Amino acid sequence: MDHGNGSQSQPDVFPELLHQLHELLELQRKYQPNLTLPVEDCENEVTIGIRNGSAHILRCLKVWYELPSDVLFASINIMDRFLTKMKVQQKHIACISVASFHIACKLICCDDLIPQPSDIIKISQCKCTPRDLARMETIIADKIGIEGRSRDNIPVTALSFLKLFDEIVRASRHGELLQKLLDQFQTFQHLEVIACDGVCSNFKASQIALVVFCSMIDVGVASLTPAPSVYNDVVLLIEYVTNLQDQCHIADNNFDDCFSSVLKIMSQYNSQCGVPHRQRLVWRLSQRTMKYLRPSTKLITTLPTIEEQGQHKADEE
Amino acid sequence: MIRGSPLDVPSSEQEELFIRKLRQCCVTFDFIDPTADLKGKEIKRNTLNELVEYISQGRGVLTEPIYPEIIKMISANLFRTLPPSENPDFDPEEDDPTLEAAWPHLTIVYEFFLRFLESQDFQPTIGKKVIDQKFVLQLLELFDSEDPRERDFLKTVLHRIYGKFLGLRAFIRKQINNIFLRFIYETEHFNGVGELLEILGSIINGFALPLKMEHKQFLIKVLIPLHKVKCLSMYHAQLAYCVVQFLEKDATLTEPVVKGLLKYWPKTCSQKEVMFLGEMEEILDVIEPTQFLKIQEPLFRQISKCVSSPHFQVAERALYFWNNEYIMSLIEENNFVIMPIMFPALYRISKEHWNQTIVALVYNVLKTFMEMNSKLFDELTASYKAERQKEKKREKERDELWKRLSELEISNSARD
Repeated sequence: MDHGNGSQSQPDVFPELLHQLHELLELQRKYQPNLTLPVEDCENEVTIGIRNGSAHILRCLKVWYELPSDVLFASINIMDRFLTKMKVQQKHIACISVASFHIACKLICCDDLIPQPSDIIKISQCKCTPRDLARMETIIADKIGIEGRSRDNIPVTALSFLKLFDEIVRASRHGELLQKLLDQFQTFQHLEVIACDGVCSNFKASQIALVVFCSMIDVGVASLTPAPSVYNDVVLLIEYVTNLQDQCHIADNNFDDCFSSVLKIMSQYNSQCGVPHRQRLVWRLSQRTMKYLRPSTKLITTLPTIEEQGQHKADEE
Repeated sequence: MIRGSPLDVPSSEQEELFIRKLRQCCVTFDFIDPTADLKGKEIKRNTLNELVEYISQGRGVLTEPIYPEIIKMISANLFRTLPPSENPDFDPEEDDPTLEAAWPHLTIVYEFFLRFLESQDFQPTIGKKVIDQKFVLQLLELFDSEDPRERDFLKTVLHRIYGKFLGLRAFIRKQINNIFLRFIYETEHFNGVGELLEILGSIINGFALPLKMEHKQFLIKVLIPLHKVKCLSMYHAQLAYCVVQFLEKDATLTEPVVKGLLKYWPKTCSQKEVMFLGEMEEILDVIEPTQFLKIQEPLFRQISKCVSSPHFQVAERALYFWNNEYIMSLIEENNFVIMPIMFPALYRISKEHWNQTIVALVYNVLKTFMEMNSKLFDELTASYKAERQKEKKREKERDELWKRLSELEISNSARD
């Protein structure tokens, strides 16, 4: 690949980056889920809709605790791998998702950023005890092979690839153009949305990452007012990214399949309609406030109506 | 004293006996001194009870000459200058009311009055000669009685009078109008606001459509300002009922009502704020979607402030709006307007609020927003984050500037 980083002061980072890329490509197999969840509700089993609902809860928790995207991707990955290995009843999914979240926090965050289990349980309304949670964490860790808190356990996910693609392209001569086209935070947000949809779980992490990367570039290009010179640069950028695709050994037809799934999810996201699976939340108030919610609760009797036209008759009472 | 119940006397003399007993009962007794004239009080009490029984028992007792006599007796007993409150700082919410000493007689007089008005034989055409504006005016003054039992009777009495005497209705409405205006703008004292509002509720309920301008003016110029008085809790239930009734009659009144409430929104009294929020929810329960569009922005700006209130009850009550299915559907329809208004406050409180119940409710609201419109939620998160980063940067620059300035000073003074 011609990275074209002709600048003399810039160290050559590409061998290292490419090495990282090949490492990730090797490892991604190990962390690949293979969900076979039913679509329709059947016999209390976790459906794909319920899985998506849990993923959204995890996303909300990530925002709530102001944690990095890595935590969300790790949580969803852990949950999906567990669901790949075990047939799970609906009543357990809440505990499983929160347990996955806590495991991910412990793997990725430093100690003072890890939320307290009792707090996560309360906020997420998952209705289990800290003991249940701890037990579930052990079960999950055993089942999918997480040992201790070593950073080696951190899964390779689409985010890992996306970050690397971003780094590679920014280091190249196309870096400036990419800066104009992509907002990093926004790109990660979009990838999160994809991760929350179980339809994409079974695609390879590198595939999803590349597809999202390309679709965000597309969006960026569409919003530019292209001057002829920029247009040329865009073409070169796309060529560069196509090379990345080759490096990742992603065949065109696989890319296209993944692309159409991602596009479908993104168009639903962009339509700004609500998600199908809503959480049934409990709204707890203090006793003092509950006692008097509305003025009408204090209203005891109402006098009979007096019609504007017409005599009020005693026997109408 | 005349003995013998009118019941065991032949009909032709009944009327005369009735009148004599009525006139007897015009004599009032001193109840302030509990030992004074106990025998006389007892006789009057028995006579009054006889009269109640007599008037209830049947047909033909309400002859034309009786009407003025009845009114004379009622006037003699009821119409009096109300004593000044024993407690000059009487707080209707906290203190027990001073009860009417003459209640043993008054209660029977009121009972009698009601039976009179509600009697099958009662004829408004005769009655209107003696139940006139002057009489009604004096009745209205009694609504300031501290005794809730008296006010309760008066409420029912005035309700019946309003019902039966079409010719008095405009006058009664005008007088109530005046009482309220004086209460709001001059005295902030009147014990019978709740009872009068209860009567008005039954009147508003019966308004014909389209609503007359006079009624709409009353809502805006009197009922809305009634919200600003300090002792609102005494009559808030009845007031809110009247307001909602108006809106159910004419939805186009929604905008002036909501804007009026927002104008008088309590700034320092948290209990009142909680009341306002309760009333607002009842208004939203019946609001039409097209009307909602007109008031959503100013309303949610206020709700955003309430949600940020350090008083936990205010914040709780405001957040609980999101547990109302109908309000939720309106918010969802208009989430692109409402979410940006609410978001900054919600995000900030999630980090800062001391009360765990509030924090949990805030989470619920944020989760709900995320489900409603993920894209907008993400945009708001991103821009809020960017704002925070800019702020932190500015803070850091300020700190560094001060540091450099203080170093400059030190080096200058060193040179000197």
